[in-house]
Amino acid sequence: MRSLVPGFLIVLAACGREPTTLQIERAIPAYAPVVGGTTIRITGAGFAADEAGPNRVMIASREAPLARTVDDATLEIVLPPADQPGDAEVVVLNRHGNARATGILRYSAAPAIDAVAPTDVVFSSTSTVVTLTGSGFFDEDAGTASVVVDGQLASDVVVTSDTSLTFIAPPGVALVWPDLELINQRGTATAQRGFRYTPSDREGLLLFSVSSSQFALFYDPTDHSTIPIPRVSGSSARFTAVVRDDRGDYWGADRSRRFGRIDMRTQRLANPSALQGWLPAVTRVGDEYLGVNRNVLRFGRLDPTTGAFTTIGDEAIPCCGSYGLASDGTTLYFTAPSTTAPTITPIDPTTGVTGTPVPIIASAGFHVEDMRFFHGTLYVTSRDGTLVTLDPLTGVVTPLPVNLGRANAIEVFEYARDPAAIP
Amino acid sequence: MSARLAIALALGLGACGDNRHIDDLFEPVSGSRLKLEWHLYEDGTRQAETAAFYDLDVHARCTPQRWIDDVIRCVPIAEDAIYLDPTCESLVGRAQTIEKPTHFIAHDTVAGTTLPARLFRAGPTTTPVTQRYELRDGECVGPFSTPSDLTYYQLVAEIAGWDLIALRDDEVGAGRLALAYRATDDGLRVPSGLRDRDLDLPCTPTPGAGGGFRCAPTEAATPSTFRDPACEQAVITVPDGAAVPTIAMLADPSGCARYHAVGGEVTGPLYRRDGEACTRVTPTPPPRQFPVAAELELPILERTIEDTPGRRLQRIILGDDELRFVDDRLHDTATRADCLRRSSGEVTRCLPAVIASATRLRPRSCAVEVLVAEIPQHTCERIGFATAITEEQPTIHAIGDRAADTLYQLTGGGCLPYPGAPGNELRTLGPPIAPETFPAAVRYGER
Repeated sequence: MRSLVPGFLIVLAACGREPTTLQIERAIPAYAPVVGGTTIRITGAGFAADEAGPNRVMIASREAPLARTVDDATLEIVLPPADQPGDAEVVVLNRHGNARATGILRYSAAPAIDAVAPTDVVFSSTSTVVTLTGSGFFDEDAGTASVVVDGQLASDVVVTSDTSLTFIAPPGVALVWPDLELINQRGTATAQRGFRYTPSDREGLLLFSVSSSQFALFYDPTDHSTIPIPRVSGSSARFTAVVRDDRGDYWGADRSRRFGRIDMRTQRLANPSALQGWLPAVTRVGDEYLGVNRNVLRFGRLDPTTGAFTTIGDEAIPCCGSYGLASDGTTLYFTAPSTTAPTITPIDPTTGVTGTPVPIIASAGFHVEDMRFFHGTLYVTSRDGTLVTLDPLTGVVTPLPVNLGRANAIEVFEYARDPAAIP
Repeated sequence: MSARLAIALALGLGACGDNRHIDDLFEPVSGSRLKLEWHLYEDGTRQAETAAFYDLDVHARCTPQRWIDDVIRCVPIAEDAIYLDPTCESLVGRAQTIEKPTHFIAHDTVAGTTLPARLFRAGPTTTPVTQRYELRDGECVGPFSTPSDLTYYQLVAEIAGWDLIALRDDEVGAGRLALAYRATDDGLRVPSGLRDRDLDLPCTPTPGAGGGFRCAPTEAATPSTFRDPACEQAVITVPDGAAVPTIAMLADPSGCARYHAVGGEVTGPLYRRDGEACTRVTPTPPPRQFPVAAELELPILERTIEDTPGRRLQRIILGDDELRFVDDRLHDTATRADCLRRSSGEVTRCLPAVIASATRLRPRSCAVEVLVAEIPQHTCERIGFATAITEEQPTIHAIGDRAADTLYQLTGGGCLPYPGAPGNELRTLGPPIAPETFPAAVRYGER
């Protein structure tokens, strides 16, 4: 025991009373949440005998809001909140003096989520079991855990250990990365972009619809199956171009000449930037966003955060109509309308120098709305609602056995671990 | 001086036995027939019950009530006796809430006021009845229905009303502060309240900004409107026809109340604070307006916390130069705050005198609820605890730090941020504290 206030002993001596030994031994339990408010017992000696009380208890330099003397060896206290987790100094003061102890009480850290598995959950699934790993799920009276997935309470939460729990993900909105919250007696853990609601358990193409009832359509090239992604309430956005970033988020340009990240919860552009022109085609090559500006008929670079468009090279692209822009990882191609037949042309993304246009061999009604390479094959959506594959070297078009309706924009959907996701 | 040093010195001084000796302490005393009842806490502290007594002659607990003869008497706590016949001559006892009733009381109505009029001892149970009559201004009226599934009792002996002990109101104290008390001819004496003689108003011990206590008017109006576009001149508004308050209460920056006189009636535009703004309001119909006038000097109360060794609860002695009496509050040394006797479930406990009510709000997603306390940023007395209703049971929680994140509420418009009242803050709450943490009391009577 270390005397904190030497003068106190002098006061006692003046009363003619022999100091009684005040001791702190243990805290039971030896842990508590940082928010405080829980009740613990402190054992020791000198809490009641010889008119010791009242006892006042300081925990980590903050006074306990309630300190009840049970008997000479026991105090019951309600803990104050702590500024941070970790060992807390315990000080008891009464008429016998004061006693101090460390290493007997620890404020528990709030739970933490380190990882989420799987990272992709089919949006319509009602049975996908998700596992959270981290800490603070069970030990030190963590209590019942609740998991909230983007505002929805998850079901079947099972805490399997202090470092692991499972729950069944509620159905969500496709392409949304929901935020996860784990709430228990020790606090709240959050994991932003905990997993992604996927349209399918397979990869494919997303065709962004112009229909009022359907936001997009997932197309699986392996079996030509489709999964509609309905619009959420209030969503009416129609995009002229959509491009996926390296986090798996989708960005869009709309007919109001705005460009921004598509908030998949609302299916609207989040904080869009004003574009300098109308961009009917945008794609990404490496870290660069490249597009065609129909107002100035130029190819150029788009700054996705400001909407600024910087032309590349000085070649004009043919007028007029819609355009397609896609890269197979080696070569960037663009399609443009023509007075005779549409063409597909390679273009150097750094200089804007174009190669030899190749006429697209297609039916009279064929009109490229947008195009993307997927697993080496170029898929093109046409204004007449057909989806075709196009050989960029020969211009040969192969219709696919689906009619998906008109889509102004197409982009690849792939399983890609979000690099920004936890940890 | 550091907090620790202050605590230690306070404890140390207390250890020297510096108890103030109070010679003229006004304490409740029993009469020879009407006996006091006491609430005895587990640490030995006791408090007198001032609202009910025990009548040794009638053998019943009784409370002061106006009898039909217009005298305040100690009337037994009893079930109703009801008239059975159209002439209001025969009666029966009807038990509704008391399992084993010992007495029944018949009530008569005079000029619209129903008062106890006849007292009977309970006899054996009897056949249930289905209708009853009442005496109103001397006339027997009825019949009225009465539930047949209740237990009815014969009445075996009537006790004359004038035989019930009468209580009279008196007061002590030679200064501005008067302690009102009730007394009986057999010697019972219990305090019933305080009165500010200068203001001629009942008053209540209330903390002030400087840490002292004053006797503040028990009833005061709190203005919410102003006479000026800067919202500085508070005005009381009163609906036409309603009583005009005489005292206004304003909160000062420390959170303590200041009391003001109310001025003569005025007219003019009205304004109301709306956050930081002061906006004009036009209530319909327009209310009468009375401006808040000069601040009142209130009688100062000396306040001494007793220091009885070994007791968690300590009595608080209040008074001035002329008068000393025991406060309704006790000081709980475990919480370092005053507590008041309150029912906690079926047990009487001394619970924190100043306690907040918990509010249920939601984190950002609104998917789950959290309990928080919304309390003023500045309070005259520390608020350490809050009550909540959890699964039908009232619970007490320690108030923690300010809630770190914005909290939300589910409304018709969805999950919206909870704005809170101006000047308030949201504080986290701990889990429920076991009721046994707060001292329990049992009631016993002097005999």
